[in-house]
Amino acid sequence: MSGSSRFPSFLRVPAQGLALSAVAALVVVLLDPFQQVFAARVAILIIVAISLNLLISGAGLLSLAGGAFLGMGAYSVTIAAQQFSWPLVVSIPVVVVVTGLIGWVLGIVSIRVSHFYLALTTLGFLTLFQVVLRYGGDVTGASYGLVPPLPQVFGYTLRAQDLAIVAALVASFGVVFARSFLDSRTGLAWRLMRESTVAAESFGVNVTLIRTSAFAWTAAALALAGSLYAFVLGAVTPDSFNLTRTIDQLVYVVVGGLGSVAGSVLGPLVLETIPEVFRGLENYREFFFGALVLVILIASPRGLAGLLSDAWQRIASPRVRAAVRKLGDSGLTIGGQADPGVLLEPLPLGALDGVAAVEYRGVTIAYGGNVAVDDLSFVVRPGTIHGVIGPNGAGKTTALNALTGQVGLVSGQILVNGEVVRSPGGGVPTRKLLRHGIARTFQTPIVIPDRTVLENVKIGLYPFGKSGIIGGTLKPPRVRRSEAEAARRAVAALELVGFEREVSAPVSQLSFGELRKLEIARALVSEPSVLLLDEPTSGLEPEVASEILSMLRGLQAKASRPLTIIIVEHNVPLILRYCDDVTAIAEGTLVASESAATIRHNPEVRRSYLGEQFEMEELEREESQRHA
Amino acid sequence: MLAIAISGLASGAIYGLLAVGVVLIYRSTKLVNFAQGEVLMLAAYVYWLTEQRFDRLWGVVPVIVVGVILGGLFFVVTHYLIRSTDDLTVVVATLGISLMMINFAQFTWGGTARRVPGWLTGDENVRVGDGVVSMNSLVLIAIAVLATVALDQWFKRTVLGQAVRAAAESPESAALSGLSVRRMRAISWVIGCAFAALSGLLLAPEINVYPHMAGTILFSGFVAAAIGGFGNILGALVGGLFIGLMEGLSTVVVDAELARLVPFALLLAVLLFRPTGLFSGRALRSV
Repeated sequence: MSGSSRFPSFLRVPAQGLALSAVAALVVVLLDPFQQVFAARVAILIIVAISLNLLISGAGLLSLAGGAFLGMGAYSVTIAAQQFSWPLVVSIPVVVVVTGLIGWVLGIVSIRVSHFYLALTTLGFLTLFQVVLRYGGDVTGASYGLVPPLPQVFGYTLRAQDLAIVAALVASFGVVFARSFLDSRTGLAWRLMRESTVAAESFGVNVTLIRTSAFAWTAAALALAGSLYAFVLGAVTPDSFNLTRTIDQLVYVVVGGLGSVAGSVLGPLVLETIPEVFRGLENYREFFFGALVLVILIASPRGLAGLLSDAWQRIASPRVRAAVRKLGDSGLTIGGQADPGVLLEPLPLGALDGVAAVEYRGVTIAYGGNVAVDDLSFVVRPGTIHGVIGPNGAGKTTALNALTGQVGLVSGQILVNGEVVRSPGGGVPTRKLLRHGIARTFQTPIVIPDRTVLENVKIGLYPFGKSGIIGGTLKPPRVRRSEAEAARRAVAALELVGFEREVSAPVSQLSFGELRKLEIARALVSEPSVLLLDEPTSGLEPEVASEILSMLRGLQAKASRPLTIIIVEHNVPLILRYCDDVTAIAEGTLVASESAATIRHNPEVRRSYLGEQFEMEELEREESQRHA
Repeated sequence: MLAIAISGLASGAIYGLLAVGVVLIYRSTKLVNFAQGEVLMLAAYVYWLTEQRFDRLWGVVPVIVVGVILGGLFFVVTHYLIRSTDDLTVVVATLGISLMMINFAQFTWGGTARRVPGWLTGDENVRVGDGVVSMNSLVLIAIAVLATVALDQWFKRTVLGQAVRAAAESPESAALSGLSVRRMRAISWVIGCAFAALSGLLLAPEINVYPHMAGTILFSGFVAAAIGGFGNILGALVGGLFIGLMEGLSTVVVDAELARLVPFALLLAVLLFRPTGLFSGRALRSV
C-alpha cells in the first residue's frame, strides 16, 4: 500500500515470497549437512506453527487435530511412494487436496462445538488417527511405522540440502501468504469470528463456511508440511504425530506469540535451537524446555513476537514510528469521489416513501415458558431517531435481538422498509441483514483489539467485498482497488462520527467512548437505511453520552437518503431530549409509542421512568441552552 | 465380569477426581490446568517417600500438603507472574510447568517404577465373582465418591463454600459485595490440586509410581468433565465413573488400544444430543 511500485501489483506478494525464499535458501546452502537437516526440520515446524496460529488465533478454533493432518501428509506420501510407486509431483498435490477435504469434513462434524469441547472433539480425531495407524498392519507398519524411500523428482534424488531448500521455500511462502491473508477481508472476518460469532454474523460473515474452510485450508497446509516431514524424519512412526508432539507444536505457537506470523517463525526457531546448543544437558532437556516456556511467557505474555515489538517500540525513534504508521493510510483521498472501477458490490437500497422503516406487528417472544415480549406493536417512521426505553428486563434488548435474529418469534412479524424480515420460524438470516440495509452496534463493543481502527471499520463492508482466501492473499489489482475503496469509505465514516484519533492506531489504545464511536462508524460504513444501537451510552461519562447522541442527530442532516436510527436505552432523559419518537416497554408489553414531545407528559411513563418529581422545565431549560 | 467392572470404576474414580479439580479451577478462573496430572504424579512420589520411613497411614498428610502447596504455586504463577489476557497463553504456561515436573521427577528419582502398598489396605486383594481386585480399588472408589460429595456439600452449606461459588459465578457482583475474588480463586486452585494429590495417593498402588505415570489420564479427566457438563463437580465424578466403567467393559470385547477411543465415542454421543454436557443447567457457549 506504500505506493512504491517496483513490481506490478499483482506480482508483489509472490515477489516477496521469492525474495524471502532466496534469502532462506542462501542460509541453507551455507550450513553443513547436519545443520541442513536441522534447518529442514525447523522450516517444517514453522509451516506447522503458522497453520496452527491461523486456526487458533486467526479463527479462534482450538484444535488438537494438527498432529493427525501432519501425520496424514507424512504417511500418505510414504505409502504412495513405497507401495504404489507414485511420483512425488503427483502424490503430494493429491495428498494435500484429500487431507484438506478431510479437514473440511472435521470442520462440519464439529460445527456445533467450540472452545474446550472443540479441543476434545479434535483430540478424539487425533486418537482415532493413532488407532488407525497402529491397526494398519503392513500398510502403516503398525507401531514401528514406515521408512520412506529416498525422495526423487523426475529421476533426481533429493539430498539433505535440497530437502532443506524446498522446506525453506515452502516456509517462506507460508510466512508471506499468512501475513497477507491476515490483513485481507477474509482474514479480518476470521479474526472477528474469534471475538464473537454473533458479531461476525451481524457483519455478514457466514460462520459455518468460515469455520469449515479454516479447517480445510490449515489441514491442507499441514499435509504439505507432513509430506516433506516424512523425508526429513527418515521414518514415520505413530509417535511422531501423537498428542505430545501436537502439544509441543501448540507451545511453539504460543511462545512465539499468538496472532503473529513472525512469532510462528521465532517460536520453533528458538525452542528448537536452544536445546540443541545445550546438548550436554540432555538429562535436563525437558526441564529447561519447560522453564524456557515459562520464562518467555512471564517476560512477555505476547510471546517472543511481543518481546520483539516492545523492543522495536523502545528503540525506534518517534519519527520512524510515525513514518511506519503513515504507511497504513497513504494513498487515500478522504471524501473524494468513488473510484468507478471499484469492485465493491452495490450498497443496499434506502427507504421507500410512505412506508414505515421498521414495524413490529404483534410480536411475541418466549424463553422456554417465560414470555419476554408480549404482543408488541409499534411503528418507526423513516428518517427519525426512535428511542426504545424500559426498565431492566423489560424486553428492550430481546425485542432488538428478535429483529437481528438472535431470538425467534412465537408469533407476529417484524417488517423493515415494508418487507417481512422476521416471522415465526423464519426470516432473513442474520448475516444477510446488512445487505437489507440493517446495521447494528452491541451493548458491549465487540472489536478486534489488536487490529487498527481502519481495519475494524472496514469489516462493516465485508458483505459487499468479493475477495476470498486466495484473492485476499495474493492481492491482485482488483482486490487492492476494492480494499483501497473500502479504506476510503471507512475513513469517511470515521469522519462522519467525529472520530479524532489516527485511523492506524490499534483499537486496544482507544477509550470506551472512542470504541462506541468506532462501532457506530463500522455500522454506518455500508450506508444502511436502519441503524440499531444497543445502549450506545452505557458506561460513558454524561458529556460523552450527549456528544454521541448529538452526533447522531447531526448524521441525519448529512445523510444523502433517509437514515432511521433505533436506540435502545435506559437513560430516559437523554432519549427524551434527542429522539423524535419514543416507544416505552414494561414487562414485555407496550406502554406507549408516540412522539418524544407528547410521551413525556404520558402519566404512565412519568410514573414508571421519570418519577413524579421529574422537572420537565429543567429538561427544557437544558435544551434551550443547547440550542443557544 | 464384576471384577472388570470394579477395576473400570476404579480408573473412572481417578478420572473423576482429576475432573473435579479441573472443573473447580476452570469455574473460578476460566483456566484449564494441564499440570493436574503431574500434581498426581508428584503426590504419588511423596507417598512413596513417606511410606518408606513412616507408617503408610501417615502418607495422606504430606500428600495433601504437597497438593495444597502446588495449588498455591500455580495460583501465584497464573495470576501474578503471567500477565496475559489470553487464556491459552496461561494454559500453555501450565503445560511448561508440567514438563518441568516430569523431568524433575526423572532426574531426582530416576525412571524406575516404584511399587507402593495401598494406603489403607496394604497389598490385600479380594475375590469378586470370577476375578480378583485389589482392596485398594474399592477404597479408591469409596473415597472418590465421599470426597466429591463432601466438597459439593461444602459448597452448598458453608459460608466460605458459597463465597467461592459466588466469586466463580459472577466475579463483579461478588467483588461489589466485599468478597476478595482473588482469595476465592486461590482457594479453588488449592482444593483442585488437593484433589489431584488425593488421586495420586490412591492411584499409586494400582499402576506404580514413575515420572510419566499420569500420561494421558488427564485427558480422560477432561472428557469426564465435558460429559459432566463442565461446571458441575458431581457431574464430573459421574462422568469419570461412567467412562471408566465403559472403558473397562469394552476391554472384554476389544483390546486396550481400541478402548482408548471409548471416552471420545461417549463424548461424541453426548455432544450430539446435549452439546453442553449431561448435567449442565446453563449453556456453556461462545457468544
